[in-house]
Amino acid sequence: MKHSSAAVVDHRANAARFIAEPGRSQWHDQALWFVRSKRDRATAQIPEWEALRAHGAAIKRHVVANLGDYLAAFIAKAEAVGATVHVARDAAEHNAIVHRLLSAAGARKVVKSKSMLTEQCGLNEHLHEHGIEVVDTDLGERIVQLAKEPPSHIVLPAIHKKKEEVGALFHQHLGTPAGLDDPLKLTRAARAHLRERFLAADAAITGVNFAVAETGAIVICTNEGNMDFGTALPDLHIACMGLEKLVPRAEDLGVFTRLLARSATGQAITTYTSHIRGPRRGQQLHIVIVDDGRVSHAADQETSDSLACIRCGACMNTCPIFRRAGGLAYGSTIPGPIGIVLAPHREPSRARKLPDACSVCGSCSDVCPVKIPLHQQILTWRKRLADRGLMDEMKRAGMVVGSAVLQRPWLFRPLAWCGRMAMRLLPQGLRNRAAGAWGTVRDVPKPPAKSFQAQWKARKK
Amino acid sequence: MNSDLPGGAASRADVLTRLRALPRRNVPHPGVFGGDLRYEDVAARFAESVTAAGGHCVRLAAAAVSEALDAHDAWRAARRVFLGPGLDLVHTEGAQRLDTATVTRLHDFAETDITVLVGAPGVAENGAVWIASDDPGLRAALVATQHLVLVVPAARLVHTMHQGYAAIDTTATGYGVWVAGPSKTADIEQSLVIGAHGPLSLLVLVTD
Repeated sequence: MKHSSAAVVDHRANAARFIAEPGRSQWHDQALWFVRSKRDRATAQIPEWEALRAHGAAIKRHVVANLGDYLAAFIAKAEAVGATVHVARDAAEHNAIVHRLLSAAGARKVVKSKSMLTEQCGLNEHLHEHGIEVVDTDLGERIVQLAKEPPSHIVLPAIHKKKEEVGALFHQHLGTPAGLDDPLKLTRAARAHLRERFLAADAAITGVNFAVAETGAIVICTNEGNMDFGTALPDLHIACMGLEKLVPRAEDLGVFTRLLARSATGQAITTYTSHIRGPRRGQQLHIVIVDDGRVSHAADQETSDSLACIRCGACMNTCPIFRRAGGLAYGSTIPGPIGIVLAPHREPSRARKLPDACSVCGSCSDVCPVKIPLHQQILTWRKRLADRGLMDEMKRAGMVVGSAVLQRPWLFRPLAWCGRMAMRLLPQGLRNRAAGAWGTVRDVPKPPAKSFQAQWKARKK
Repeated sequence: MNSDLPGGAASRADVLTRLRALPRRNVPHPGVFGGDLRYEDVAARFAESVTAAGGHCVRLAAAAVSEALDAHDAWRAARRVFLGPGLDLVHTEGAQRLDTATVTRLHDFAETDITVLVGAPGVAENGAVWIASDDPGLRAALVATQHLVLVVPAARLVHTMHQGYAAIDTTATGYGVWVAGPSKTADIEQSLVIGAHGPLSLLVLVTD
């Protein structure tokens, strides 16, 4: 399900709702830290890991610098082996293409494997309005689809859901016994439900992890086998991809298959890494390649590195804010640090508060398998959005006052004295409130009687 | 191509033109990855990786494959089997053999109880085995089967994915897949469940 597109995303308010339920935030934090720890163990087994990251980063930067050539090469190769390629300028055109293809084939029942692009485009809703049923077949995506929620994470779409909540959804929609919350039994119920859908499907829609310019192949990675199962039977396969998914040669996949799953879930590789080159016998293969702001993103040299993203989700698993606030707080299909740097490209006004959801700890940049300098780009966006007059009004006012005071020691000293004294005199409750968001979950300590400068002078004597 | 339709020639030309108008930057391709990770015992490491991926790995003489299958519960219990090319096996309990000659409806391959395929190379660092085919039946039986067995010659084991890609030709077939372990998911509270939509188990036989 697509995020509602109207208002400015208020990450702080959204996070506050997530944190409000006792234990939820800690539980979510630990679930993601578990994944981050698995990633660390997996990468530690590869002594050449850092060289591999650097290599992946270099290939992706090369691609971003030569997107036109590689896109043209890929289209020519894919069509030469029998695929039909469509290029969409934006989400609406993408949805229209997919709908037209399904209508032409008379398809009413569609199975879809994981694709953040189609989520972002609101494809399911578009097709639903036209009477076409789309079943998301990744288990996590199916869970959030039944819950009528957007995914909260690009690799683990239902990571924010507890097994009891999944059990309740399955009881309601799949007829599992009330109160059943065993992950094995729930997964088996989903298996039976989704295998039925695979057999009944008229068409399959999939995402794409890599598109090889040299060969015209698309490469798709899953653990569940839902892409392979979904495309094995129906006569129509529609693969949707952003144009940044290109890689030059098949041998480059050696680098990215080593990086992707280790970074994503700590597995050495996904269960299925499938290469589809042209349609299988008796099938039509359509590849829909989407711009939707990517060309202008590529033109923006200061931030074009973020087009290198291979959608592993490692930056989410490590981010202290994502782990505690949950992915839905970001109000965009791609949440977390990479979401913060991608969202303002498409919707600067709506995403203008997102870059504040960052402590600039830099952990995201450290784990990124293609070395996107995420925290630096978040700072870049803070600056840009401020320059464009999109900074939060209160924050802007604070900056103006702060700047005026900090530049004038004669003004700073008496004001600091007043502030210190006031904070010493206030009772704890009011002191916490005076400290703003910082004080909502912590006791703000009483400031010392003497200023730092006074203490420093006394010490030097 | 009709340029008035969504996704028509106009959109393609527009996107390509705008991409090609971007300022030229000389960012060279870094070439072949120079890493040289090698395992002391490639077969032992491969077996460990298959196990870590949720599969089961056995090393045996090529002549012993039939015997090993007879000892495999999922094979013995199977009513419908799919055998890939290059395998000369007989199901002693007389299970139905599904193949493109006997089955015309693609959906029937989804009823496979066990699928046995020869694959190569096998990759030691992650337990992945390359399976490539243009047969739509094989493609369906590979993922829709309840249980999967892969037979990999020991001589075709490699250390890393770089060697893996060097050993295959991805343009030889329309479909090729690295399979590492049985289908699995951890989408409910990060609890690993083996057997998502595809095979519930994977047995890898490494043959000498």
